[in-house]
Amino acid sequence: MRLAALAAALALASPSVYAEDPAAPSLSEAPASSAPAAVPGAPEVTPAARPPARASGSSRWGLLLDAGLPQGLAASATFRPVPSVRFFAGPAWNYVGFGVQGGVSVVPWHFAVTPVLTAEAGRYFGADVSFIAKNGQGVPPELRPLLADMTYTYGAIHAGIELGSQSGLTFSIDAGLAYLLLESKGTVTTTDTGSGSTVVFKDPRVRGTLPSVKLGVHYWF
Amino acid sequence: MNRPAAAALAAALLTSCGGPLLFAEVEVPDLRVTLPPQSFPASGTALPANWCDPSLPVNTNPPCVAISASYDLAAQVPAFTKPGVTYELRLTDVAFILSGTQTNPAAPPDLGGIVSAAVRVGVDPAVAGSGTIIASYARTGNPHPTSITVSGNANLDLAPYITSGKLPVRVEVVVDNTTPAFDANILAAFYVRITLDWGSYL
Repeated sequence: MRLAALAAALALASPSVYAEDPAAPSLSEAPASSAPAAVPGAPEVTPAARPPARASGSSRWGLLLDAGLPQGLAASATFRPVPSVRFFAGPAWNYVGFGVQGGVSVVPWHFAVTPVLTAEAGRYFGADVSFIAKNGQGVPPELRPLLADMTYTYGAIHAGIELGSQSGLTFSIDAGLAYLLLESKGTVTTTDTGSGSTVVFKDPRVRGTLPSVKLGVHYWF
Repeated sequence: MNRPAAAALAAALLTSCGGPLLFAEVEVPDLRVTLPPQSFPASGTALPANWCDPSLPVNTNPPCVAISASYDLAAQVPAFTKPGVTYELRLTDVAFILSGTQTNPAAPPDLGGIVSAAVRVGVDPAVAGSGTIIASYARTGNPHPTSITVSGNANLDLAPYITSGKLPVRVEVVVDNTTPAFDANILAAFYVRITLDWGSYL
């Protein structure tokens, strides 16, 4: 809820103005000399018959590779129905397991340096996160067996910049806040041989927030 | 909406949700603890410390025997006493099983003299009958039980009663007939949530 509220506020804060990518001139601005020469006998291509994906001078589809904390490594297919909004989704890997992730980005305008606001979420399946119970990190060591097979869900909001062409290759850096939820199903029984007491843990959950950072490479086809 | 206004809105929304912005939390919906037996003296104990109201010159009419114990929760979960840590420890189920300690088959333990029993937390030693009852027992049909169960389902947040990671508990037993010494086996179930406001360390 907290992340959703911030994401909504950030989306409201973004300017609605959209400017064309100067690195990708629109078809209407293309010099006549760059137009392909008419070939005798070939069907005439009218502006209305051109693919709508190129109407703004850049592709609607792309490939995003990014790495960050706590998202891990992700490869995403990206789609922008309008120039200022893009959706992405794909598989993810974080060293301890595989998962899926996706999100939406708002790109208020297109220049060589472009601000980007992103909200994303992901889920990993059956990851071993027992390392968070090491060395008194606040998680009781007794929980470690339960952390060996945990699902891992996260959501994050980011603000960042992209460097490069919105119709070609861009590099991005993003930072923000992430929410994590680690869930385990199972039971652990521990016995204190000194006092003779027995403690049984069942179905623990670990959650929290932490700063998030992400680096990415984006290619628009 | 301009950006400062949006940032202010975002901050307001975040703070209105309550709780720290940067936190780590462990939640255990079902934690069950079985503690080693606590020994109860016979009803004829001469130790004032085992009387419910030691201020009385003679502990009679009705006799009431009590023991106090302090359970060191911090020894089980060290995070309880760390700075920046808040917690919710909700008692969801509790049972004190009182069993006679006599082992002579010819004279089985008889707890029929126990009229009632109560388990309290938050007891002020200077005030008789103070604290909150989390489990209780009242004698029913069986005139010669060899064991009785003092049970409760208080759904009570014990956090206000914990001091320095320790939970003081007092068990009081009212008898109307001679009662032998017995053991109290303690089973308790909790909902536990421990929250660390790690943003306070920044």
